[in-house]
Amino acid sequence: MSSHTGWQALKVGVIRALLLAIPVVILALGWGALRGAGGQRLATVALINIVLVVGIQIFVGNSGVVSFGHVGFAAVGAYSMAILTSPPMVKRARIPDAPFGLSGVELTVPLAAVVSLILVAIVGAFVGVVVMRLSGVSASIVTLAFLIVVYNVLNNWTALTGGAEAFYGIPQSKSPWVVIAIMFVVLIVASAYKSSATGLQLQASREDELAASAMGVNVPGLRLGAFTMSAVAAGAAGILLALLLGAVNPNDFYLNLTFITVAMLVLGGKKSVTGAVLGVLVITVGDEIFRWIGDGPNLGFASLPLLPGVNGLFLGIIIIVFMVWRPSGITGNWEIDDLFRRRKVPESAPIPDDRDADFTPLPLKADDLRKNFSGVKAVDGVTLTVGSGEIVGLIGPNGAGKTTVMNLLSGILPPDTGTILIGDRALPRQLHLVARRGVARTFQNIRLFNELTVAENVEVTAHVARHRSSRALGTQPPRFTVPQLLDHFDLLPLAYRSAGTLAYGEQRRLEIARAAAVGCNVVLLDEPVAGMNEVESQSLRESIRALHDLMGAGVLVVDHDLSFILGLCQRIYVLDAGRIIAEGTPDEIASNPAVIEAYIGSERT
Amino acid sequence: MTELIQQIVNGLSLGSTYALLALGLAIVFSIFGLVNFAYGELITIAAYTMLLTSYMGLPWTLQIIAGVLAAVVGSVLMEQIAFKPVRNADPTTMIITSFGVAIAIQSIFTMTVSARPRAVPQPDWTATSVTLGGIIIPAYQILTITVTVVALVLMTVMLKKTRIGLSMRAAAEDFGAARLLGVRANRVVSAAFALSGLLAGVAAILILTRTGGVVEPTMGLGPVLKAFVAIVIGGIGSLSGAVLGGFILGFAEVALRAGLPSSVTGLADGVLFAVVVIIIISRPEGILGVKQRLRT
Repeated sequence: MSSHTGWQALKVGVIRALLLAIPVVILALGWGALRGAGGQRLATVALINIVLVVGIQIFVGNSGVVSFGHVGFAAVGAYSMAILTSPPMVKRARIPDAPFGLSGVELTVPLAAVVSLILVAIVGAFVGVVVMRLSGVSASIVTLAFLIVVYNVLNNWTALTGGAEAFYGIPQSKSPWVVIAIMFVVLIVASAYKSSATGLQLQASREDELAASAMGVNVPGLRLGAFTMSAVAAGAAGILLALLLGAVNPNDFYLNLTFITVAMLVLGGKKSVTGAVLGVLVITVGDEIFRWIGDGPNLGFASLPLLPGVNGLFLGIIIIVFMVWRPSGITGNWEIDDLFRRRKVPESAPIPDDRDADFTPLPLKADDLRKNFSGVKAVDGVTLTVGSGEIVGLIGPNGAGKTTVMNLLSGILPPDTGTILIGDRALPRQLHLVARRGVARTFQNIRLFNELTVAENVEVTAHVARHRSSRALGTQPPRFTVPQLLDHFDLLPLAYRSAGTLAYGEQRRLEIARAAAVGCNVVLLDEPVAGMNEVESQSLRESIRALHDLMGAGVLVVDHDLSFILGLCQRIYVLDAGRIIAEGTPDEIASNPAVIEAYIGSERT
Repeated sequence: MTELIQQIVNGLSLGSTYALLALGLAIVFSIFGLVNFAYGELITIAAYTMLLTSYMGLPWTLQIIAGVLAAVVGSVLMEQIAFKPVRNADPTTMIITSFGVAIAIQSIFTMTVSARPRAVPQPDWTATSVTLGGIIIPAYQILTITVTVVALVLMTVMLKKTRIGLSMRAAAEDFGAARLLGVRANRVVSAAFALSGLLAGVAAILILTRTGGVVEPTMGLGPVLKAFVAIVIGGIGSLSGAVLGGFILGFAEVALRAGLPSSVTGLADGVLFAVVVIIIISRPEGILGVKQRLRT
C-alpha cells in the first residue's frame, strides 16, 4: 500500500510513459507518413507541445498554482539555443555587438542544449523563489509578469536577441526521434514525480496549504523544486522548437502559445499526466480542423467562405466551456494506468503492542502566552503543560480562546509574548518544522487533503515522520504502518476512497490518524467530537485512548463536550476569557465552583 | 522648464486614460473578485463598433455613442454568458475563463473583419493642437484630460449619492455581508460590469483620438495590461487607489521614456512589470485582496 518509495514511483512512471508514448508515437509517425512533410511537421510540433504541456503539468498539476509563464522558459531555451548555435557569420551580421563576445561563439547542438538547459534552470529557480511563497492568483500573476518581461526583453535587447524580427541560422533537425526521446523522458519524470512521496506532499499543499504545512510539508521548498523542474522541461520544448523551425521570433513565445498550452492543460485535466497528453492531442486535432474550415475549403458541392481566426474562436470557447462545465478537465485525477490497476482492500493489520521502551515523548510547555487581535485579548496569559505522554484536556465556553490557544501551540499563529517549548527547545517559527518536531494537530473544521485518498492522507505525514526524524530532535520514525493506523480507526476498507467523499465521522477519525502518524511527541485535537452523537463520541474516545496507550505520545484535547473531556483526560485546564481559571483532575474540575460558575453553571440552569 | 511642463501635460494625459481603464478593471475586481483579462476586448468592441458605424456613414458623435453602448452591452453579456457560471469558482478559474473570453472575442473580429489594422476616420480637430506659452498641447490631450475629470466626478457622485452606487460600494467592501443586508447581488454585479464597459468605451474613444483611429483585433491587450499594472500599484481592490495608480503609471511611463536612453526605451514595459512583481512579493497576503485565511 505504501506505493510511494522512489523505485515504485519510477516504475509507475515508466509504465505510464510507455502507455502514453506508444499510441502517441504511432499516431504522430502515422500522420507524418500519410500527410507528407506538412503532416510530419504538425506531428513533431504536437510532440513538442506534449513536452511543454506535460512539463507545465509537473508544477501546475501537483501544486495547484496555475502558471502563465512557462512559455517564457521555452523562449529562454530557444533563444539561448539560437544565439549559441547559429554560425558566427550570421551573428556578426545580425548581432555584431552581442555582450560577452557571444557573436563569435558557435557550439555544437548537444553542448548548446546542455548550456541552454542550465540557463533555463537558473532562471527557473530565480522565478521559482519569487513564486514559491505566493498562493493562487498572486503566483499566477507573477508568472504572467515574467512572460511579459521576457517578451519585452527579447523584443528590445536588440544587441543580444536581434529584436523583434526572426533570428535565423539555427542548425535544423527535422527528425522526430530526438523529440520522441525527450518526450519519453519528460513523461517518465512527470509520472514518477506525481507518484512519488515528494509529489504527494506537494499535492497535499494543493488541496490545503495550511493543513499541509501544519503536517510538516515544506510547501515553498517543494514548489521551488517542482517549478524549476517544470521550467527546465518547458525550456527543453523551446530548444526542440528552435531546432525544428531553424529560426526563432519573440512572437512565437508569447500569449498565443501560452493560451494554447493553457487550453490543452485545462481541457485534458491539469492534475493528470494522461490529461495533459490528451489535451495536446484534442486541441491539435481541433485546431487543425478549424484551420481547415477557416481556409474556406471546397466541399465539392459548395465552397465555404474564408473564416480566418475561427480556430481561435474554437480555442476560446473550449476554454470557457471547460472552466464552466468541468474545471478539472476530461480526466480529472485519472491516469491511463488506472485502467490496469486493481486495488485490493489491504488486509487487516492490528497495531502490535510493542512500545519503544527507549523513546520518551517530549513534553509541551507553554508559558504566559498572550495574543491580541486588534485590541481583543483572545489569549491573556495562558500557562499550560502537556507532560510526557499525558492526556490533557482544555475546556471552556465559546469565545474563551480555545482555538487561539490551539493555533499558538501548533505554530499557526505566533504569540505576541510568551514561550512555547517542546522538551527544552523553543517551538520552531516555521510552521512545517513544528510537525517535524513531533507536534501535530487536527482542525476544528476538518482540513483533509480532499482529493487524495484516505491512505495518501496518512502517507503524507508518515513520510514526513520517516524522513525528518532524529533522536537529537526528540522525534522517532513512525511506529505504525499506514494500514495499521487506518485499521485502528476502522478506515482500512476506505483506504482508496478520496478523503473528501468520506462521512463526517470518518473524516474526523482520518484527521486524527493523519496527525498521529507524525505527532510522536504531542497530538493536538481540536474539537474531535464536535457534531458527533453519544455513541460515536464514546467510540472515538476509546480509539484515542487505545492509540495513546500504544504510541505513548501526549495528547491535548480541546472541546466543550465536558463528559467527553472528563472521561478521556488525566488532567484538565479550564479556559475563560483568555485565562486559565482552573486546573486539576477530572474529579476536581467537576466539583470546582469557579468552573461551574463560568462554564457548567450555565448548562445546569 | 517648458520641456518639463510639456512632459507633465503628457503624463497627465496618459495617466488620465490609464486611470479610466484601471477604474473599470477595479470595479469588477472589487465586487466580483475577477481580474478580467477580457476587459481589453471591451475597448476592441467599442472601437469596431465605431468602425462599423463610420462605414454606415454616421457622424462621429453617433459613432462614439454607439461604441460606448456596445462596450456596455458587451460587458454585461460577458458576465451573463461566461462569468456568472464561474462566480463561485476559485480566482484562477475565473482568470482562465477571462482569457478564453478574450481569445474568442479577438477571433470574432479576425473572422468578421480582418486580422489587419483598419482605421476609423477621426474628426479633424483631434489632430490640431493649442500652443500656450510655448507649450504645445494636442487637442486629443485636452479632450482626454477633460473627459477623464468629468467621468471621475460623475463616477464619484454616482457611487456616493445613488442607491445603486451605495450598494456597489457596500458589495465592494464585503460582498457576503452586503447580500445579507439586502443588496441584490445580480443587480450589483450587472451594474459593475455595465460601468466597467462604460469606462472601457470612453477610454476607447480617447485611445482612438490619440492613435488616429487605428483598430485591430488585438488592440485591447496593451490597455488591459496597463490597467492591471495601475491597479496593482494603487492597491488592488481599491477604487480610488486604481485611479491614483493610473496617474502614477502615466507619469512613470512618461518619465521612463524621457529618462531612459533611446536604445532601451522599449524596456520601459519590462521595468513596469518587474515593479509589479516587486509590489506583489512585498505584500504576499494582501495582494489581490484575497487574504490567506489563518483562522482554522
